[in-house]
Amino acid sequence: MSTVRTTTSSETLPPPTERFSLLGWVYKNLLTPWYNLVLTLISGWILYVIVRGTLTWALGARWEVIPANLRILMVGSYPGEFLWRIGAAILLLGWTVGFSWGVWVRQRERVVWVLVALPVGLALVTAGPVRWMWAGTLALALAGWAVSRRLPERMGTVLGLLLWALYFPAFVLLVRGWGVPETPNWKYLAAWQVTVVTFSFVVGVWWSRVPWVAAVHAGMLVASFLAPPGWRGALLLSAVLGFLAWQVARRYAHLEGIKRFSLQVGMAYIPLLVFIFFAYEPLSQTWMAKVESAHWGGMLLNLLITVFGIMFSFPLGVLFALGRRSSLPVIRLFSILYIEFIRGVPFVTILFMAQVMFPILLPPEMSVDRVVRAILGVVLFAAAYMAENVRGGLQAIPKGQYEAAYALGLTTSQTLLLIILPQALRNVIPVLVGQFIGLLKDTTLVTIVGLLDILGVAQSVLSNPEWIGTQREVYLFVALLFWVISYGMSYASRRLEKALGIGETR
Amino acid sequence: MEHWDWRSFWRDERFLRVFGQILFLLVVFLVGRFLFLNMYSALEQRGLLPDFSFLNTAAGFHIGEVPSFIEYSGDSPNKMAFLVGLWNTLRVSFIGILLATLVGVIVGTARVLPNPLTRLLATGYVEFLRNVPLLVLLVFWYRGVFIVLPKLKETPLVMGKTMLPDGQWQAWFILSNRGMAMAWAVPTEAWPLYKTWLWAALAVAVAVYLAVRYYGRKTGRMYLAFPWALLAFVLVAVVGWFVVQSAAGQAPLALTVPRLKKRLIKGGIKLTPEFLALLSGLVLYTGAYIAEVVRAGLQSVTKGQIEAARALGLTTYQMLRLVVFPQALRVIVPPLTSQYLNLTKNSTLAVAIGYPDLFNVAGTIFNQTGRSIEVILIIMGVYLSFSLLTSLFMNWYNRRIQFVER
Repeated sequence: MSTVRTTTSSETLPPPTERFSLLGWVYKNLLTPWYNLVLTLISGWILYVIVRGTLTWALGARWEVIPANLRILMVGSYPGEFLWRIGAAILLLGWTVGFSWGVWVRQRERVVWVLVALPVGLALVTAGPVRWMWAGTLALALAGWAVSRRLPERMGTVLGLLLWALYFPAFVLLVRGWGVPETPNWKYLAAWQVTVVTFSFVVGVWWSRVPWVAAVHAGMLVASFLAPPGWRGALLLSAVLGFLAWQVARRYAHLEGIKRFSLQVGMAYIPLLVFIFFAYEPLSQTWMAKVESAHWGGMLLNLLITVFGIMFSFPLGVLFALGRRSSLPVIRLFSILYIEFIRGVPFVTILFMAQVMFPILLPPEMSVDRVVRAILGVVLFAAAYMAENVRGGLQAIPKGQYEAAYALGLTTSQTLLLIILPQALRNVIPVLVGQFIGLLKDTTLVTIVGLLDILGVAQSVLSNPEWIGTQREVYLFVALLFWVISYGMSYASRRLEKALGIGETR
Repeated sequence: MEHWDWRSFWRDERFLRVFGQILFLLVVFLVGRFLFLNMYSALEQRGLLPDFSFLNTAAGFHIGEVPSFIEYSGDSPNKMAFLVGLWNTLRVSFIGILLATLVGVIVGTARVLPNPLTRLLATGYVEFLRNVPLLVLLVFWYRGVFIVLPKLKETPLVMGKTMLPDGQWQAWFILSNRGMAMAWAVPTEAWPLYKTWLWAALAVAVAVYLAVRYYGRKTGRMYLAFPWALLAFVLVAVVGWFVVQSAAGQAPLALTVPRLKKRLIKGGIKLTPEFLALLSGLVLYTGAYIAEVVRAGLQSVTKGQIEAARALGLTTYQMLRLVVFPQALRVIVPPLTSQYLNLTKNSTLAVAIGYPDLFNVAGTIFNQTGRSIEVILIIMGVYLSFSLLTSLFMNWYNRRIQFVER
């Protein structure tokens, strides 16, 4: 900028400083002109009525219904001996949130108090081991925050995204557990898969120029058709996985240090076998025993359905969004029909259809239980909305980006994966968070098809003669719980939006 | 055209495009066939192959809310039950849309007002309602508010209560655990005559509107065509009221006041607690979303536009009418229609509180007949056609405002 020549003298006075006075503020904003005064009076009266009514009721309400039923409202009939796994999932969440906070909200230090306030508040109102869990969550969150702030920015971003990508599967695994497979010879099958994959990888790295290794995989493929039924699937799987591992190894064989890495993989082989044969079974029968979906209940079920919904509808939605913008007419038409159909009907009808139709559409041996059916319904529903949101992001990418990518010689899939999708998804993060909030709120609808989510549990609590007449307390508690989670998520998303600079002119 | 190299046709993009689509179709076909065959054998086993004749058999269940113009009892066929459900859906959606728009416009405007107290109230409302599941709101209203209201024989909330000579009482407005009853105008025998008169009044109003607008265009002055038309309508209607009253000997509409008779309310208009809970839940929830839409629309009109309108010497009304509204509406209308559609689709949550909307009735019919495919086809068909009609309207409207704009 060049200096601006002013015509006035250089001794112009500074603008008068406006002193803040409370009376002046009230006069200016609340009392003048006359219609403002009317508004003030009306709003003040409404506020007074609401606050007085709420307080009078809340002070006389039977709040003891909440602590008495807190556990089933939160986790339903989830077995008590495994509650620590849910605690572990929350601890992990503390770490992940703290870490992301340090990465993406690093400019302003004081906002960390928001992060602190929630677990501290929760620790104060709870007791016993739960209080320790919240204290631990706070500690982990602060640790994650402190660690991530010291990392270089790019590394922090990558690690943060990775943490979130891993958090959802970890949450599901912790809550569900895994148990022991029903096949009697599963140990040998698992050992076989591990052996084939490991050796394919190592061979691919060390002898990357030997093409006939593929014959071994082809042999396994042929064998899978001849083998006895119990081995068929395993052989087919090992043929595919082994071939893929071999191909990956050959492709990256020229990289520095890959030979050392392959040796480490080879060395991990023995402990892995030991784990499969000796440790897996005791571990998964005691600590990590599977908790059947019939025992998922309360808020836990809402969260689980949301997490499953996010995990599966996201890739599906991206595929449908790409399909809708594809130049292949068949794929485009299919995507449009799917998206518009799902968006045109209410969510309850999809859930109802999932409950009623899946048992009819699938053969009896593939039957899935009620919870899984509800999750499938949620995924199918959310994918269509996800697709439209992602499409919004795709449309905002200028054509020049495609042309530049093609000019550089990238293929269509490389263009999409490396150039278009990263930009498009980054732009729609706030919208997607909004959709996840909507998804969480929508999971309450599973109570209509008879699942015991938090509303279903609330209903059964209220039908207990001891707690008749506490509807307002229970439902208000449920509403506030959702409010805290949803508002927290949207607040975090707004911070993230600012941190990523979305919507700012570039 | 490039040279077709048959030796490596699998690397040719032209080939791959066609082949990929054929492959995709094949997979879709095979999956569809797999599902269809399973479905066919499962339904055949249960003797439930798709057949719509169940629509004509007796429904055999009671519906709580039946409009006066549909004859429905337990012996009526299932299709009449569907019709009652459809009417109930349309009724709650229509009233809900009107009220939600009202709430949304008021709250959305309040959010951009300079008064901090009003803004606080509006922001609190929007932020609370948008972050709470609708279903929780609905059950809260139903179980926590409407059905725990005082009983009729206790102390219901009343307005304008008068005791009658026979010991009973009547009131202008009664709110109890059985719902709400209100004094209401009921058509009398003179109503058909008056209805024709109202149509005539409408024609007059349209004529006045067109004439004023034509005159305004011709002279270049702006007259308020709509208020004039409204005035004409009201004038003709009021005159007609007295004309019909003196001709037929009675007023076209008579006011009936709800009165308590043997623990039942007679007269007036009655709304069930289910309807009230569903309506208030839908209106408050959608109202919060509409408020955001309205706010975004109002804020989309830049300050410069308003200053420019002022500088041109437009009056406040002219500024709003010619500068602010046309631009705000262009932003508001598309998301607004999708909110209307959402409200209609969300009315299916009525099933949780027992209001007999289409989905609820369909669910009952499914439970009684086991006809899954048919029932699902019917409900999805109805909601899909709602969506289709709305998007047709949207496209038409978008084209229209775009044409006006530039």
